[in-house]
Amino acid sequence: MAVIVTDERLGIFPSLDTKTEQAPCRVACPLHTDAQGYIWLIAQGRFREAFEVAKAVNPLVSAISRVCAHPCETKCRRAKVDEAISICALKRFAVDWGREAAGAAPVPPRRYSERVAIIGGGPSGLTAASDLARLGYAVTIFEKLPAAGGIFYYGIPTYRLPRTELAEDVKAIEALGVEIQTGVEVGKDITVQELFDQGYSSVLIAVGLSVSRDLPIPGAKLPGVLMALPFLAEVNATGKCKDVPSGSSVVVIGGGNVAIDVARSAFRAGASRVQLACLESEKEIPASPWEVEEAAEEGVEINCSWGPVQVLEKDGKVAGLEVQSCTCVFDADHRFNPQFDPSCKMQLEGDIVIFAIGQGSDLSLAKDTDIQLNQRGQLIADREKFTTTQPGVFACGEVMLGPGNAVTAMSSAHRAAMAVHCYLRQIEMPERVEDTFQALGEVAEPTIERIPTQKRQAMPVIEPEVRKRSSEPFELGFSEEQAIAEARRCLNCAAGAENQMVRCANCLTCLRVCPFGVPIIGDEGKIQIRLDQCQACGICARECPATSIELRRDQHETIPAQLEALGVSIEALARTADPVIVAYRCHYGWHAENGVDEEAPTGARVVDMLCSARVDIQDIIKAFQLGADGVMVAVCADDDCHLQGVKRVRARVERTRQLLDAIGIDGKRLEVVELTSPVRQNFRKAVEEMTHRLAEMGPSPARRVPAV
Amino acid sequence: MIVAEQKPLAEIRQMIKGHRKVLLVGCGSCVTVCFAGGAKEVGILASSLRLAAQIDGDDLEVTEETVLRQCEPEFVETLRRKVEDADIVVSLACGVGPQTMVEAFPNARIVPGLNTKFFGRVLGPGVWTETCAGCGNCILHLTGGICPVARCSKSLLNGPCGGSVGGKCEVSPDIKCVWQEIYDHLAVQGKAENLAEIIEEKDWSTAGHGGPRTITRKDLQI
Repeated sequence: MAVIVTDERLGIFPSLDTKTEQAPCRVACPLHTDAQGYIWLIAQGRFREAFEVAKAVNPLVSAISRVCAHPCETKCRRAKVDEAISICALKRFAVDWGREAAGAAPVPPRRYSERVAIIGGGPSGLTAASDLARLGYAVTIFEKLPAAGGIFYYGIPTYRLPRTELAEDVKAIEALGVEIQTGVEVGKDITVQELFDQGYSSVLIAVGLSVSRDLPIPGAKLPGVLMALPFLAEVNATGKCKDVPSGSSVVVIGGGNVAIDVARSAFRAGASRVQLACLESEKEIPASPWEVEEAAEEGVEINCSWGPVQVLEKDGKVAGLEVQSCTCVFDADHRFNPQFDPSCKMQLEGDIVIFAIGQGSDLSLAKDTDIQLNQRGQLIADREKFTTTQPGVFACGEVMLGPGNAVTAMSSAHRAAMAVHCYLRQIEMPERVEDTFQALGEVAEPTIERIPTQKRQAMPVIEPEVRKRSSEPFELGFSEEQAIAEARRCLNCAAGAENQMVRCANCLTCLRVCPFGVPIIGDEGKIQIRLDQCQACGICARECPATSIELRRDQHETIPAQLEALGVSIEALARTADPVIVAYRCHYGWHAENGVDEEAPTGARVVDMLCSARVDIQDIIKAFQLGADGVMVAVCADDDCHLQGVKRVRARVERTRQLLDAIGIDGKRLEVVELTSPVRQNFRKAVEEMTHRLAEMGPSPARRVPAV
Repeated sequence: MIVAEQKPLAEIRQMIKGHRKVLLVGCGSCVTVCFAGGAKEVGILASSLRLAAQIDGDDLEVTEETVLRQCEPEFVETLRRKVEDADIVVSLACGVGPQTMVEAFPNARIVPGLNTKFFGRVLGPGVWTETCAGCGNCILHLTGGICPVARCSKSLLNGPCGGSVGGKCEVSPDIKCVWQEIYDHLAVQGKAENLAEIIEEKDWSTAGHGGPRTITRKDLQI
């Protein structure tokens, strides 16, 4: 039985947190974001709740939704059917459409007296601060730069992440009571010891990797040789770079996402030509493939398998970069050990060279403390306990983990915050339910054959020639129609049918009705509903004669609440003599065409069904019991139902009609309507016609109407 | 399995008329499988009774229960409190269920909600057919594994009769002539000549014609 979360923010939302088998997207996400959950909610038009679900584990959800490396999509099982779900774009949609309506920050259940200092206001520092504040601690972030956000503020280009989005996240974190002191450099303006002296009980180092590395090659100190992070910071702040005059020819060294950011930003700073050289081959290039593709679209010339030899000089200025062929980047042990062929060289002409080959940490704060660094100058920290060599001082994020993606750093911040909490409370680190998660297995070929293909929605973008000169975001975000269409592509991994077994009669009905061939007779000779093949259409759950099947994520529980919200009750309806229609309407069919903008009243009291196949005979009878004069079941046109449930619901309605006749309610009061295009007009027309028919029939014998 | 179907709603309403607290008891075995009396059907019947009572202004309180097998006294015993609390109990089990209930709860008013039809099997979703007559003396080995006792309209042991036309029974064109099926099946196996042998007259005393049947296994008795 799914745990049903009912609170003001989440409405009725069956949580899968206690389950072992999870959607692969959720397992792949370092934060274990319930992506299937918010996609399920988007498919229902519940955007605010979708936002709440996405935000639940991610205090930087607005920023992350623009820049995430989205390892979730790599694991998306839909890829085997056609293409992966555009998960990150849907998260952005949830932010765009749900954030505004989201409630205020939750109040911590209690407040502790201890204060925690966090050094660094980047993704990790902000995440840990959010957690600790929500746990009830007074948290201060010390950020050496003038703005909070770290790499999100200074590094990520504005065309990917508008700073207004980041500001929303920071604002929400501050609303939790987190104090952010910017322009304060720990180690210079204040020491770690002074933090303790000021009454902080614990210090968390989350300084990230803020220093760009260079290479000791000839010409590296020439004017015109720049470092990635200062360059990005300047372009992000001003839209240009004083060292990169308009019309410059820029050569970027590096193959990571930062290098790609630098190359694309160079165009935006005014460069007329941008070349990039990296050691890795096209297959090995560490930057995200979509970033590489977008950079190439904008005209960045990417030279793979080339290593820098020297910065070429002419008249004391940069004249280009000499590179040599890189034959191999990693050795047999997968260690970074590049090999070159010096006989194969070439020159990349240019007047600016920018190093984007990696970053290191500024750990000057460790001076004169018990916080030890290793021989390479890296922080010594325990990756399980998040401790450093000084008691009470913890670490998280990339200063500890090294370079990676933001969500991985933030994941460590969650755990580090818990470590700080446990240290302060003198308790053991609790086991995390996320550690028990296991990704569902593959979708099998016979199942895939039965799943109708649906094209992945493309993110609308600004044309490369236009966007390469603009610091404005080039991705425009999904429309409602696109988002809902994309969300309904989700295979609902791990949210499908579970046989409770206790009541199961092994009647094989599920096996017979499933459109996807999910239930089989297992090795034990009993029915087995394979969760890893289930598409969560819900047909088996409604057909099961033993009521033994439950959907892990069902919105069936919301029906009474929806009816109540619609004023469908004997008492409420006793005040009107007009015909009352309850419409159980397929959410997929309705929103496929309409989006979810403000719906003009149709005269029907609409209960949204996530596939009409989930409408139960008892739901229909219930509507009549509560005083409906007629019930309409609005279904997709048969061929449009991607869950193939319409035939079943039609049969169910037919039986219910006969039942109603026997009960004493004319079966004609129950109708099936197809949601054909134009859906809105046709539905309205169907409601009007049914209203006329019901008016002629008079009120349902089961309701009370006001005396005339 | 035992195949049953629910009685018409009107008949059930007639049986419970005059009673306020109605307990519906389903059975989680055969009649669940044939969609006559499982938890789902109990629920639908309960909803239907409530709505019908609402229309008629009757004061009716319906509670729902389903036990794994209503033919077992121990399972039925778990319902004692609810049965005692009810004015009437509608059993949605085969005919064995209500009788088990009556035995367990002699003071309760127990009525049947199902009509028990036959021993049968599913032909496809929603279709069940009689396949065994429970005659107590199986002769399937003589008839190609197809039972003429259950499936021949006349239960002929040496058919077909003159009413077999085009593989159909004269009783109804919807009924296949089972003797045609037996012949066809044995012919495929190359054993059609078996049919030349007359099946001796059958001892029908095992079929219930000698009074209600009981099986006693001393080794299992406690």
